[in-house]
Amino acid sequence: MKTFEHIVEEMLHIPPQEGMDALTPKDIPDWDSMNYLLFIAELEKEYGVSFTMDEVLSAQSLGDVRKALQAKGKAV
Amino acid sequence: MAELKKCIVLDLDGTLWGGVIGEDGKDGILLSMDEKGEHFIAFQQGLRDLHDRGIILAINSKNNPDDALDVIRTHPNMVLKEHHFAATRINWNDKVQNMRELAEELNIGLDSMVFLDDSTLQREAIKSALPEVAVPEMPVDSALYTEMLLSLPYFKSDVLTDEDKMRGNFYVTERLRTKAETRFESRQAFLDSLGLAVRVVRNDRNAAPRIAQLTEKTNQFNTNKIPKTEEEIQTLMESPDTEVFYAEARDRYGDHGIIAAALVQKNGVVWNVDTLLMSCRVFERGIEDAFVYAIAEAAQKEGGESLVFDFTPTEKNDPAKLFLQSRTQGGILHNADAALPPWITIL
Repeated sequence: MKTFEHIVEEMLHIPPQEGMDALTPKDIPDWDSMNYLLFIAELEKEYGVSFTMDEVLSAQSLGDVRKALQAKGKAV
Repeated sequence: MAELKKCIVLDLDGTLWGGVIGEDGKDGILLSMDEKGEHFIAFQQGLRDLHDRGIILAINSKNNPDDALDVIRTHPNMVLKEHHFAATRINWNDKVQNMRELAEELNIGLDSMVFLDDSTLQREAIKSALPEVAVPEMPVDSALYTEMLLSLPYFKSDVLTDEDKMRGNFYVTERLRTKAETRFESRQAFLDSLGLAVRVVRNDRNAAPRIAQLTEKTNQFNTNKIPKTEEEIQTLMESPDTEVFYAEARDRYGDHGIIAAALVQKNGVVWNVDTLLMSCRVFERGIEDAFVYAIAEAAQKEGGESLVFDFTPTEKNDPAKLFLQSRTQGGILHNADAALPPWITIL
Protein backbone atom coordinates (compact mmCIF):
# COMPACT_ATOMS: atom_id res chain seq x y z
CA MET A 1 0.00 0.00 0.00
CA LYS A 2 1.22 3.46 -0.88
CA THR A 3 1.73 5.86 2.02
CA PHE A 4 0.33 9.39 2.14
CA GLU A 5 3.86 10.66 1.48
CA HIS A 6 4.22 8.44 -1.57
CA ILE A 7 0.97 9.68 -3.03
CA VAL A 8 2.01 13.29 -2.40
CA GLU A 9 5.29 12.60 -4.18
CA GLU A 10 3.60 10.86 -7.07
CA MET A 11 0.77 13.32 -7.67
CA LEU A 12 2.21 16.67 -6.54
CA HIS A 13 5.85 15.94 -7.38
CA ILE A 14 7.59 16.86 -4.12
CA PRO A 15 9.81 14.50 -2.09
CA PRO A 16 8.82 13.48 1.45
CA GLN A 17 10.20 16.09 3.84
CA GLU A 18 10.10 17.48 7.35
CA GLY A 19 7.24 19.84 7.99
CA MET A 20 5.43 18.95 4.78
CA ASP A 21 2.03 19.24 6.46
CA ALA A 22 2.44 23.00 6.51
CA LEU A 23 2.87 23.18 2.72
CA THR A 24 0.16 24.98 0.74
CA PRO A 25 -0.55 25.39 -2.98
CA LYS A 26 1.78 28.41 -2.91
CA ASP A 27 4.70 26.21 -1.79
CA ILE A 28 4.09 23.37 -4.24
CA PRO A 29 4.44 24.44 -7.88
CA ASP A 30 2.46 21.48 -9.25
CA TRP A 31 -0.46 21.88 -6.82
CA ASP A 32 -2.83 23.28 -9.43
CA SER A 33 -6.54 22.57 -9.81
CA MET A 34 -6.02 19.52 -11.95
CA ASN A 35 -3.24 17.84 -9.94
CA TYR A 36 -5.03 18.50 -6.69
CA LEU A 37 -8.11 16.69 -7.99
CA LEU A 38 -6.01 13.77 -9.22
CA PHE A 39 -4.28 13.70 -5.81
CA ILE A 40 -7.63 13.55 -4.02
CA ALA A 41 -8.90 10.84 -6.39
CA GLU A 42 -5.75 8.77 -5.75
CA LEU A 43 -6.14 9.08 -1.96
CA GLU A 44 -9.78 8.01 -2.24
CA LYS A 45 -8.78 4.98 -4.26
CA GLU A 46 -5.84 3.91 -2.06
CA TYR A 47 -7.64 4.39 1.25
CA GLY A 48 -11.11 3.39 0.09
CA VAL A 49 -12.66 6.62 1.37
CA SER A 50 -14.75 9.39 -0.12
CA PHE A 51 -14.08 13.02 0.71
CA THR A 52 -16.99 15.42 1.01
CA MET A 53 -17.19 18.57 -1.09
CA ASP A 54 -16.43 20.62 2.03
CA GLU A 55 -13.27 18.68 2.79
CA VAL A 56 -11.96 19.09 -0.73
CA LEU A 57 -12.86 22.76 -1.01
CA SER A 58 -11.65 23.84 2.41
CA ALA A 59 -8.25 22.11 2.62
CA GLN A 60 -5.60 24.84 2.75
CA SER A 61 -2.52 22.66 3.27
CA LEU A 62 -1.29 19.07 3.05
CA GLY A 63 -1.92 18.85 6.79
CA ASP A 64 -5.60 19.64 6.24
CA VAL A 65 -5.86 16.80 3.74
CA ARG A 66 -4.11 14.45 6.16
CA LYS A 67 -6.47 15.51 8.96
CA ALA A 68 -9.49 14.78 6.77
CA LEU A 69 -8.15 11.27 6.20
CA GLN A 70 -7.50 10.81 9.91
CA ALA A 71 -11.06 11.90 10.63
CA LYS A 72 -12.15 8.94 8.52
CA GLY A 73 -10.22 6.61 10.84
CA LYS A 74 -7.16 6.26 8.62
CA ALA A 75 -3.78 6.17 10.35
CA VAL A 76 -1.71 8.39 8.07
CA MET B 1 -34.69 37.25 -26.29
CA ALA B 2 -36.63 36.65 -23.10
CA GLU B 3 -36.74 39.36 -20.49
CA LEU B 4 -33.85 39.17 -18.04
CA LYS B 5 -34.62 37.96 -14.52
CA LYS B 6 -33.05 38.91 -11.21
CA CYS B 7 -33.97 36.10 -8.86
CA ILE B 8 -34.37 32.33 -8.78
CA VAL B 9 -36.77 30.95 -6.19
CA LEU B 10 -36.08 27.35 -5.33
CA ASP B 11 -37.94 24.45 -3.86
CA LEU B 12 -35.84 22.09 -1.68
CA ASP B 13 -36.99 18.41 -1.65
CA GLY B 14 -36.57 16.92 -5.10
CA THR B 15 -35.05 20.14 -6.40
CA LEU B 16 -31.87 20.98 -4.45
CA TRP B 17 -31.53 17.41 -3.19
CA GLY B 18 -33.25 14.12 -3.91
CA GLY B 19 -35.82 12.68 -1.57
CA VAL B 20 -37.82 14.28 1.22
CA ILE B 21 -36.01 15.58 4.28
CA GLY B 22 -39.04 15.15 6.55
CA GLU B 23 -39.24 11.44 5.71
CA ASP B 24 -35.75 10.37 4.68
CA GLY B 25 -33.77 12.41 7.21
CA LYS B 26 -30.46 14.16 6.65
CA ASP B 27 -28.60 10.90 6.00
CA GLY B 28 -31.28 9.60 3.66
CA ILE B 29 -31.65 12.45 1.19
CA LEU B 30 -29.83 12.12 -2.13
CA LEU B 31 -26.86 14.45 -2.16
CA SER B 32 -24.01 11.99 -2.43
CA MET B 33 -21.18 11.66 -4.93
CA ASP B 34 -22.81 8.78 -6.79
CA GLU B 35 -25.29 8.43 -9.62
CA LYS B 36 -28.20 9.16 -7.31
CA GLY B 37 -26.90 12.35 -5.77
CA GLU B 38 -24.31 13.78 -8.17
CA HIS B 39 -26.76 15.65 -10.36
CA PHE B 40 -28.15 17.58 -7.42
CA ILE B 41 -24.61 18.62 -6.47
CA ALA B 42 -23.93 19.72 -10.07
CA PHE B 43 -27.23 21.63 -10.13
CA GLN B 44 -26.32 23.44 -6.92
CA GLN B 45 -22.97 24.42 -8.43
CA GLY B 46 -24.74 25.83 -11.49
CA LEU B 47 -26.95 27.91 -9.19
CA ARG B 48 -23.93 29.04 -7.21
CA ASP B 49 -22.26 30.24 -10.43
CA LEU B 50 -25.38 32.30 -11.19
CA HIS B 51 -25.29 33.69 -7.65
CA ASP B 52 -21.66 34.69 -8.22
CA ARG B 53 -22.78 36.55 -11.33
CA GLY B 54 -25.30 38.57 -9.34
CA ILE B 55 -28.49 36.51 -9.52
CA ILE B 56 -30.43 36.47 -6.24
CA LEU B 57 -31.31 33.04 -4.85
CA ALA B 58 -34.28 32.43 -2.54
CA ILE B 59 -36.10 29.42 -1.09
CA ASN B 60 -39.81 28.63 -1.20
CA SER B 61 -40.34 25.22 0.36
CA LYS B 62 -43.00 23.29 2.22
CA ASN B 63 -40.97 21.90 5.06
CA ASN B 64 -40.23 21.95 8.73
CA PRO B 65 -37.74 24.85 8.79
CA ASP B 66 -35.50 23.21 11.40
CA ASP B 67 -35.05 20.06 9.30
CA ALA B 68 -34.33 22.00 6.12
CA LEU B 69 -31.96 24.51 7.72
CA ASP B 70 -30.06 21.68 9.37
CA VAL B 71 -29.34 20.20 5.93
CA ILE B 72 -28.33 23.57 4.51
CA ARG B 73 -26.04 24.32 7.45
CA THR B 74 -24.44 20.96 8.03
CA HIS B 75 -24.74 18.59 5.08
CA PRO B 76 -21.16 18.06 3.83
CA ASN B 77 -22.12 18.06 0.14
CA MET B 78 -24.27 21.20 0.15
CA VAL B 79 -22.58 23.46 -2.39
CA LEU B 80 -25.11 26.20 -1.63
CA LYS B 81 -24.68 27.63 1.86
CA GLU B 82 -27.09 29.63 3.95
CA HIS B 83 -25.44 32.90 2.94
CA HIS B 84 -26.20 32.26 -0.75
CA PHE B 85 -29.92 32.68 -0.08
CA ALA B 86 -31.12 36.27 0.21
CA ALA B 87 -34.53 35.28 1.58
CA THR B 88 -36.25 32.08 2.60
CA ARG B 89 -39.81 30.89 3.12
CA ILE B 90 -39.62 27.41 4.61
CA ASN B 91 -43.04 26.73 6.10
CA TRP B 92 -46.36 24.99 5.44
CA ASN B 93 -48.02 28.02 3.90
CA ASP B 94 -49.31 28.34 0.38
CA LYS B 95 -46.38 28.74 -2.04
CA VAL B 96 -48.22 31.49 -3.92
CA GLN B 97 -48.41 33.53 -0.74
CA ASN B 98 -44.74 32.78 -0.05
CA MET B 99 -43.82 34.05 -3.54
CA ARG B 100 -45.61 37.33 -2.95
CA GLU B 101 -43.84 37.77 0.37
CA LEU B 102 -40.43 36.97 -1.15
CA ALA B 103 -40.96 39.57 -3.89
CA GLU B 104 -41.86 42.12 -1.24
CA GLU B 105 -38.98 41.25 1.07
CA LEU B 106 -36.45 41.35 -1.79
CA ASN B 107 -38.09 44.46 -3.20
CA ILE B 108 -38.27 43.09 -6.74
CA GLY B 109 -41.19 42.51 -9.08
CA LEU B 110 -42.74 39.09 -9.57
CA ASP B 111 -41.82 39.51 -13.23
CA SER B 112 -38.13 39.40 -12.21
CA MET B 113 -38.49 35.97 -10.64
CA VAL B 114 -37.97 32.42 -11.89
CA PHE B 115 -39.52 29.56 -9.91
CA LEU B 116 -37.88 26.12 -9.96
CA ASP B 117 -39.78 23.26 -8.37
CA ASP B 118 -39.85 19.56 -9.29
CA SER B 119 -43.56 19.35 -8.45
CA THR B 120 -45.85 19.86 -11.44
CA LEU B 121 -48.67 20.70 -9.06
CA GLN B 122 -46.73 23.54 -7.43
CA ARG B 123 -45.56 24.87 -10.77
CA GLU B 124 -49.12 24.95 -12.07
CA ALA B 125 -50.30 26.70 -8.90
CA ILE B 126 -47.71 29.47 -9.33
CA LYS B 127 -48.34 29.76 -13.07
CA SER B 128 -52.06 30.24 -12.69
CA ALA B 129 -51.98 32.55 -9.68
CA LEU B 130 -48.89 34.57 -10.65
CA PRO B 131 -48.53 34.58 -14.44
CA GLU B 132 -45.72 37.18 -14.25
CA VAL B 133 -43.38 34.62 -12.68
CA ALA B 134 -41.31 32.54 -15.12
CA VAL B 135 -41.92 28.85 -14.38
CA PRO B 136 -39.78 26.56 -16.56
CA GLU B 137 -40.58 22.86 -16.81
CA MET B 138 -38.28 20.77 -14.64
CA PRO B 139 -37.03 17.55 -16.27
CA VAL B 140 -38.36 14.40 -14.62
CA ASP B 141 -34.81 13.01 -14.60
CA SER B 142 -32.60 14.99 -12.19
CA ALA B 143 -29.61 14.15 -14.42
CA LEU B 144 -30.95 16.83 -16.77
CA TYR B 145 -31.44 19.61 -14.18
CA THR B 146 -28.12 21.33 -14.86
CA GLU B 147 -28.60 21.31 -18.64
CA MET B 148 -32.05 22.80 -18.12
CA LEU B 149 -30.57 25.53 -15.89
CA LEU B 150 -27.77 26.33 -18.35
CA SER B 151 -30.24 26.65 -21.20
CA LEU B 152 -32.59 29.14 -19.48
CA PRO B 153 -32.70 32.38 -21.49
CA TYR B 154 -33.20 34.65 -18.49
CA PHE B 155 -29.65 35.50 -17.47
CA LYS B 156 -26.92 37.52 -19.14
CA SER B 157 -23.99 35.28 -19.81
CA ASP B 158 -21.18 37.39 -18.41
CA VAL B 159 -17.74 36.11 -19.21
CA LEU B 160 -16.05 34.97 -16.04
CA THR B 161 -12.38 35.77 -15.50
CA ASP B 162 -12.15 35.29 -11.74
CA GLU B 163 -9.90 32.26 -11.28
CA ASP B 164 -11.09 31.65 -7.72
CA LYS B 165 -14.68 31.30 -8.81
CA MET B 166 -13.75 29.16 -11.78
CA ARG B 167 -11.69 26.94 -9.49
CA GLY B 168 -14.67 26.35 -7.20
CA ASN B 169 -16.78 25.26 -10.13
CA PHE B 170 -13.95 23.10 -11.45
CA TYR B 171 -13.41 21.25 -8.16
CA VAL B 172 -17.05 20.40 -7.77
CA THR B 173 -18.00 19.49 -11.34
CA GLU B 174 -14.74 17.78 -12.22
CA ARG B 175 -14.86 15.62 -9.09
CA LEU B 176 -18.31 14.51 -10.15
CA ARG B 177 -17.00 13.66 -13.62
CA THR B 178 -13.97 11.80 -12.23
CA LYS B 179 -16.23 9.74 -9.98
CA ALA B 180 -18.73 9.12 -12.74
CA GLU B 181 -16.04 7.93 -15.14
CA THR B 182 -15.20 5.02 -12.83
CA ARG B 183 -18.73 3.67 -13.39
CA PHE B 184 -18.18 3.29 -17.14
CA GLU B 185 -16.30 0.46 -18.75
CA SER B 186 -14.46 2.71 -21.15
CA ARG B 187 -13.43 6.30 -21.59
CA GLN B 188 -15.53 6.38 -24.75
CA ALA B 189 -18.68 5.23 -22.94
CA PHE B 190 -18.08 7.97 -20.38
CA LEU B 191 -17.61 10.62 -23.10
CA ASP B 192 -20.79 9.44 -24.82
CA SER B 193 -22.71 9.94 -21.56
CA LEU B 194 -21.53 13.51 -20.96
CA GLY B 195 -23.80 15.36 -23.38
CA LEU B 196 -20.85 17.58 -24.31
CA ALA B 197 -21.79 20.75 -26.18
CA VAL B 198 -19.37 23.32 -27.62
CA ARG B 199 -20.17 26.84 -28.78
CA VAL B 200 -17.70 28.65 -31.01
CA VAL B 201 -17.82 32.43 -31.16
CA ARG B 202 -15.92 34.91 -33.26
CA ASN B 203 -14.62 38.41 -32.39
CA ASP B 204 -16.67 38.91 -29.23
CA ARG B 205 -15.22 41.91 -27.39
CA ASN B 206 -16.77 40.84 -24.10
CA ALA B 207 -14.52 37.81 -24.10
CA ALA B 208 -11.29 39.74 -24.68
CA PRO B 209 -10.21 39.71 -20.99
CA ARG B 210 -10.66 35.96 -20.70
CA ILE B 211 -8.90 35.27 -24.01
CA ALA B 212 -5.97 37.48 -22.96
CA GLN B 213 -5.82 35.55 -19.68
CA LEU B 214 -5.70 32.25 -21.58
CA THR B 215 -2.84 33.46 -23.79
CA GLU B 216 -0.86 34.23 -20.64
CA LYS B 217 -1.61 31.12 -18.66
CA THR B 218 -1.93 28.26 -21.11
CA ASN B 219 1.32 26.33 -21.36
CA GLN B 220 0.55 22.78 -22.42
CA PHE B 221 -2.00 22.86 -25.21
CA ASN B 222 -0.68 26.01 -26.84
CA THR B 223 0.82 25.91 -30.31
CA ASN B 224 2.49 29.27 -29.98
CA LYS B 225 2.70 30.92 -26.61
CA ILE B 226 2.55 34.67 -27.13
CA PRO B 227 0.91 36.44 -24.17
CA LYS B 228 -1.45 39.14 -25.39
CA THR B 229 -3.10 42.01 -23.59
CA GLU B 230 -6.80 42.65 -23.67
CA GLU B 231 -6.20 45.61 -26.01
CA GLU B 232 -4.13 43.50 -28.40
CA ILE B 233 -6.90 40.91 -28.54
CA GLN B 234 -9.44 43.65 -29.28
CA THR B 235 -7.26 45.01 -32.08
CA LEU B 236 -7.09 41.54 -33.65
CA MET B 237 -10.87 41.32 -33.37
CA GLU B 238 -11.38 44.62 -35.15
CA SER B 239 -8.93 44.08 -37.97
CA PRO B 240 -10.54 42.76 -41.18
CA ASP B 241 -7.63 40.35 -41.83
CA THR B 242 -7.59 38.64 -38.45
CA GLU B 243 -10.15 36.66 -36.51
CA VAL B 244 -10.27 35.71 -32.84
CA PHE B 245 -12.26 32.58 -32.14
CA TYR B 246 -13.09 31.15 -28.77
CA ALA B 247 -14.87 28.00 -27.64
CA GLU B 248 -16.96 27.46 -24.55
CA ALA B 249 -18.04 24.03 -23.45
CA ARG B 250 -20.67 22.54 -21.20
CA ASP B 251 -21.93 19.11 -20.31
CA ARG B 252 -24.49 17.64 -17.96
CA TYR B 253 -22.29 18.36 -14.95
CA GLY B 254 -21.90 22.03 -15.71
CA ASP B 255 -20.44 24.90 -17.61
CA HIS B 256 -16.70 25.08 -18.32
CA GLY B 257 -16.92 28.62 -19.63
CA ILE B 258 -14.39 29.77 -22.22
CA ILE B 259 -11.69 27.11 -22.47
CA ALA B 260 -10.13 27.48 -25.91
CA ALA B 261 -9.07 30.25 -28.27
CA ALA B 262 -7.52 30.67 -31.71
CA LEU B 263 -5.87 33.68 -33.29
CA VAL B 264 -6.22 33.47 -37.06
CA GLN B 265 -4.86 35.44 -40.03
CA LYS B 266 -6.85 35.21 -43.23
CA ASN B 267 -4.68 34.97 -46.32
CA GLY B 268 -7.11 34.14 -49.11
CA VAL B 269 -7.62 30.39 -49.40
CA VAL B 270 -5.22 29.78 -46.52
CA TRP B 271 -6.15 30.68 -42.98
CA ASN B 272 -3.11 30.86 -40.78
CA VAL B 273 -3.72 29.80 -37.18
CA ASP B 274 -1.02 31.74 -35.34
CA THR B 275 -2.07 30.39 -31.97
CA LEU B 276 -4.36 27.55 -30.99
CA LEU B 277 -4.74 27.00 -27.27
CA MET B 278 -6.95 25.08 -24.86
CA SER B 279 -7.10 24.93 -21.08
CA CYS B 280 -5.79 21.72 -19.47
CA ARG B 281 -9.12 21.52 -17.62
CA VAL B 282 -10.77 19.93 -20.65
CA PHE B 283 -8.05 17.71 -22.10
CA GLU B 284 -8.87 14.42 -23.76
CA ARG B 285 -12.52 14.99 -24.57
CA GLY B 286 -12.29 15.93 -28.23
CA ILE B 287 -13.09 19.60 -27.57
CA GLU B 288 -10.00 20.66 -29.54
CA ASP B 289 -11.29 18.68 -32.54
CA ALA B 290 -14.73 20.26 -32.29
CA PHE B 291 -13.14 23.72 -32.07
CA VAL B 292 -10.89 23.21 -35.09
CA TYR B 293 -13.83 21.70 -36.98
CA ALA B 294 -15.89 24.84 -36.36
CA ILE B 295 -13.03 27.11 -37.46
CA ALA B 296 -12.51 25.03 -40.62
CA GLU B 297 -16.21 25.26 -41.34
CA ALA B 298 -16.16 29.05 -40.91
CA ALA B 299 -13.14 29.27 -43.21
CA GLN B 300 -14.78 27.09 -45.82
CA LYS B 301 -17.86 29.31 -45.88
CA GLU B 302 -15.61 32.24 -46.76
CA GLY B 303 -13.74 30.42 -49.50
CA GLY B 304 -10.86 29.14 -47.38
CA GLU B 305 -9.38 25.79 -48.35
CA SER B 306 -7.03 24.97 -45.53
CA LEU B 307 -5.83 25.90 -42.08
CA VAL B 308 -2.11 26.22 -41.53
CA PHE B 309 -0.94 26.00 -37.94
CA ASP B 310 2.14 27.76 -36.60
CA PHE B 311 4.03 25.86 -33.95
CA THR B 312 6.80 26.93 -31.60
CA PRO B 313 8.04 24.16 -29.31
CA THR B 314 8.47 24.86 -25.59
CA GLU B 315 9.33 22.65 -22.62
CA LYS B 316 5.68 22.14 -21.83
CA ASN B 317 3.66 22.20 -25.03
CA ASP B 318 3.89 18.55 -26.08
CA PRO B 319 0.08 18.16 -25.97
CA ALA B 320 -0.22 20.80 -28.72
CA LYS B 321 2.57 19.14 -30.73
CA LEU B 322 0.91 15.73 -30.50
CA PHE B 323 -2.37 17.21 -31.65
CA LEU B 324 -0.81 18.80 -34.74
CA GLN B 325 1.14 15.61 -35.50
CA SER B 326 -1.93 13.43 -35.42
CA ARG B 327 -4.50 15.75 -37.01
CA THR B 328 -2.55 17.70 -39.62
CA GLN B 329 0.01 17.03 -42.30
CA GLY B 330 3.01 19.06 -41.30
CA GLY B 331 0.73 21.69 -39.78
CA ILE B 332 -1.69 21.80 -42.73
CA LEU B 333 -5.30 20.75 -42.46
CA HIS B 334 -7.62 20.78 -45.46
CA ASN B 335 -10.89 22.20 -44.24
CA ALA B 336 -12.85 19.34 -45.75
CA ASP B 337 -10.83 16.86 -43.64
CA ALA B 338 -11.75 18.41 -40.29
CA ALA B 339 -14.03 16.05 -38.33
CA LEU B 340 -16.46 16.63 -35.49
CA PRO B 341 -16.30 13.93 -32.79
CA PRO B 342 -19.73 12.23 -32.79
CA TRP B 343 -20.19 12.67 -29.01
CA ILE B 344 -20.02 16.48 -29.26
CA THR B 345 -22.77 18.86 -30.36
CA ILE B 346 -21.91 22.28 -31.78
CA LEU B 347 -24.35 24.85 -30.42
